[in-house]
Amino acid sequence: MIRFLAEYFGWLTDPSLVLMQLLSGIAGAMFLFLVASGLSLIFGVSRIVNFAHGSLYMFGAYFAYTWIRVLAGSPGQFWIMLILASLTVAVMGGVLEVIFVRRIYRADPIFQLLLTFAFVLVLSDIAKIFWGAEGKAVPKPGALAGSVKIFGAPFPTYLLLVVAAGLGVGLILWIVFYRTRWGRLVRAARHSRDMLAALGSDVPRLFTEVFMVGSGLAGLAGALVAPIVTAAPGMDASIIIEAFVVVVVGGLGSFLGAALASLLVAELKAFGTLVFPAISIVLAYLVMAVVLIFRPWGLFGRREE
Amino acid sequence: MTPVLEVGGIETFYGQSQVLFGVSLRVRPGEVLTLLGRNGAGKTTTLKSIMGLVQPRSGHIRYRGREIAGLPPHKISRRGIGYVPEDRIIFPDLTVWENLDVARRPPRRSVSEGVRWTEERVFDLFPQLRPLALRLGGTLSGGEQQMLAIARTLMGNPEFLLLDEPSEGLAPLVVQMLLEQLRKLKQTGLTILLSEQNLEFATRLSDRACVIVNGQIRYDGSMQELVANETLRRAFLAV
Repeated sequence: MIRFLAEYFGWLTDPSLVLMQLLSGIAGAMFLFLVASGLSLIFGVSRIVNFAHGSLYMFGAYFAYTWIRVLAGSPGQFWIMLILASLTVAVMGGVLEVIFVRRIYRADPIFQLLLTFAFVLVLSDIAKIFWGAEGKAVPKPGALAGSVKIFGAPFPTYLLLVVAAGLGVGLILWIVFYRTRWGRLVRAARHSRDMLAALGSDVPRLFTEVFMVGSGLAGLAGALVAPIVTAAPGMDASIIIEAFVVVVVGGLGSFLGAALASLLVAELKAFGTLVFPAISIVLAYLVMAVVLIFRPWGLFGRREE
Repeated sequence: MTPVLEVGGIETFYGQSQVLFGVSLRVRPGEVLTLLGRNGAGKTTTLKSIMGLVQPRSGHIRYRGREIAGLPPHKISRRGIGYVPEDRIIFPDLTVWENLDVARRPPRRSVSEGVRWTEERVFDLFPQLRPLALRLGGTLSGGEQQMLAIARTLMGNPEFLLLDEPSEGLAPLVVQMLLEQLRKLKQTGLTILLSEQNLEFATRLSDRACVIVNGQIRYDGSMQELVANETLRRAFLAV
C-alpha cells in the first residue's frame, strides 16, 4: 500500500511540482474556456452544435503565424497579431454564418451536424493548402519568452499572460452579457428568437454577430496557443473534443459552467499525467460520463422543460 | 374611412394542413376590432400571419396602404405594429426592466414626443409592475406576465396592436383590471386587433367584431348586433 502511494502519489511531497501542475492546469483551462464559451454562446442562441468551432481555433493559430510574419518588426506586433487573428477568424465565422448556417436554423439537427462537420473537413483541407502539412511555429513575444520564479520554481512567463488573458476575457464577457443591451438581446434570443423579432430586433443580424463573437473567441484561443504548440493540422479535432467535454460537463449555454468545467478538465489532465500518465485523457471522459448519467443538462445548465 | 390594416384573402398553412381559407378583414384607425372564434378556429394564425411569424401562401396584407406580407417580423414591427402573443413569451431569465429594455424602439416620426413610451409611462399604466422591476420575468404570476407582455410591446411605440387572447387563464379580478388598462390604451388612440374567446371581455372593449370559424370569416359587423342576435352567437360561438 505504502509502495503504491509512493509510486503514484510521491509527487505530492514536492510542493513546487504541485504548484507547477496547478498553474499549468489553470493556463490550459484558459484555452479551453475561450473555445468552450464561444461554442456555448453560439449554441445558446442558435441551437447549432458547431463542430467547426475547433477548426476556427486552428485557423486562429495559423492566422497568428501569418499575421506575425506580416507584422514582422513593427512594435507591439504580438499584441496587434492577437487582435488581428481574432478579428480574421470572427469575420470567417460571420461569412460561414451568412452564406451557410443561417439557411438551416430551422432544419433538423442532423442536417446542422452534417453541415458543421462538412466545414471541419473542408476547412482542414483549406488550411493544408494554404499553410502546408508541417507545423508553423509562432515566436513568443520577447518580454514573455522567459520564466518567472514562483515559490522558487520556474514557471513560463507566457502562461501567466494566458491566464491573465483568459480572466480578462471572462470578465469582459460577463460585463457584455449582463450589463449591456447587446447582452440582453442575446439572452432574450436564447429564449425566443421569434418574440425578439416581433419586438423589432433584427434577429438575423444578431445571430451573425453572435457567430462572429463566438468565432473570434476561438480565434483568440488559437492565436494564444500558437506560440506553445505550433500551428498544425489536427489541432482542430483535439480541441473540439475537449471543448465538448467542457460544455457537456458545465452545461451548454452557461458561461460559469464553461469556466468551471474548463478548470476541472484542465486540472484533471494536469494532475492525471502525474498519477496515471497512460489514462490521464480518459479521466475527463469519465467525469463527463458521470455528469451525463446524473445531470444530463450539465452542472450549471438548465434543465429543458 | 381608409383602413389602417387590410387583410385580403390570406391562406396560411402549417406544413400540409391549411389553417386559414381566405381570411379578409379591415381595421379602421383608432378602433378596437375583435376577432372572435373558438379554439383552433384560426385566430392566432391570423395574427401571426399579419406579424410575419408565419407566411401566408396567398392573399395580401396592407398596412397604411403598403404591402407587408412576406416581410420578416422585425421589419413589420418597425413599421409600427406591436404583437402580444397568447402565451406571452416573457424572457424568463431577464428581469422585468430588461424585458422592457430589449423591446425599446425609437418612435416613428409620426409619433409626437408626448405619447412616446418609456418605462415610467409603462409603469404608470401598469403600477403593479413598478415594484417588480428587478424581478426575473420567470417568477411573475400569469396576470403580471400578461401586463408585462403588453408593457413590453408598448416600449416599441407601436401605432397598431395585435393582442392575442389577453384575458385567457387570468382570474376575474385581474381580467377586470386588464380591461381598464386596455381601455386607457384605446383612449391614447392606439388601434387594436384583439383576438378573444371571452365575449364579455370583447364587448366591453371593442366596437366591431369578426367571427372566424374553421379558418374563414363568417361574420363581420357591429359588436352590438352580434351580442343581440342569439342565433348568430349560437351558430358561431356556442355561447
